[in-house]
Amino acid sequence: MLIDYLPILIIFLAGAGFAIFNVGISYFLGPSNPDPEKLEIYESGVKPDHDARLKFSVKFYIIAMIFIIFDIEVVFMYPWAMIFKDYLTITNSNFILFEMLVFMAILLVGYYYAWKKGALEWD
Amino acid sequence: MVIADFAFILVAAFVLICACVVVFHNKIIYSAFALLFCFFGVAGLYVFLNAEFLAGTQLLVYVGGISVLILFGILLTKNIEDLTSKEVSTQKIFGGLISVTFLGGLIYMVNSVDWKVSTPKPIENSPVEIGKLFMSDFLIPFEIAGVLLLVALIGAVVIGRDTDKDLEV
Repeated sequence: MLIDYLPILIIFLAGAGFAIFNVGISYFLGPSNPDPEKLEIYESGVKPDHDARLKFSVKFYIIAMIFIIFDIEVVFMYPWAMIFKDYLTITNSNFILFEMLVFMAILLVGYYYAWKKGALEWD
Repeated sequence: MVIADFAFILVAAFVLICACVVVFHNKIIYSAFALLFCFFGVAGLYVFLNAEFLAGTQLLVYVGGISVLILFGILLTKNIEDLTSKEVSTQKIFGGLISVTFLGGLIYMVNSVDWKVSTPKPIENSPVEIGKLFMSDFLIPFEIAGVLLLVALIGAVVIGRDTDKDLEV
């Protein structure tokens, strides 16, 4: 049971190893002669004259919230997709297809609303 | 099953350490990223409970969604970098007292309850079983969940639109 997750662990270790190896090898092998000019954010560009952080519009937050809504919709679709093929072959009816279409239609109403309200526009 | 126990302790320790960073770190952006890893570890704990679907949902919704929302919240808040948790938290003794009392209550509860160990074997391939239940016994709740998401979506748009003018600088 738990052994099924071994590939995930290997991926983790490979990813972490890749990052550590690359950063480490450039740290140990690369020459390091820092001077004030080199340590500037833009070595040969316009000097930053104010804070790089600026206020973003709250619209970005709406986009993120809309994203989560459709994220959760996908979560609901996943178990449905897992049984869809078996259900069709066993019962030979389209019932669960319509069931999912109703579910999606409900959310499409919200999508249409957000679209018409201009929540998806950047301006 | 010694390896499984060892892996569980490792994941649980990971969650606890990340949670401690969330609470105790001075800069809120570090707390937010620690929270991301904390969510990730909780997904691992779900795996130990044989709840693969829940683990996947946790990854998709919490790690991929809620964390981004929290990071956006930090991004959108003005001058949040100047604040440290030391400045914000004023009632340290009182708050600490309540936390310790709550922890004591929880430990007492965990120790005093006679925990039942379930005998049925864990369900293999839980998404399939959940899908079957969604399309039979829990069909109406499934559709109502869609309505709930619709309400959340419209609410997000309405609130975001209304407050847009006040918040924009």
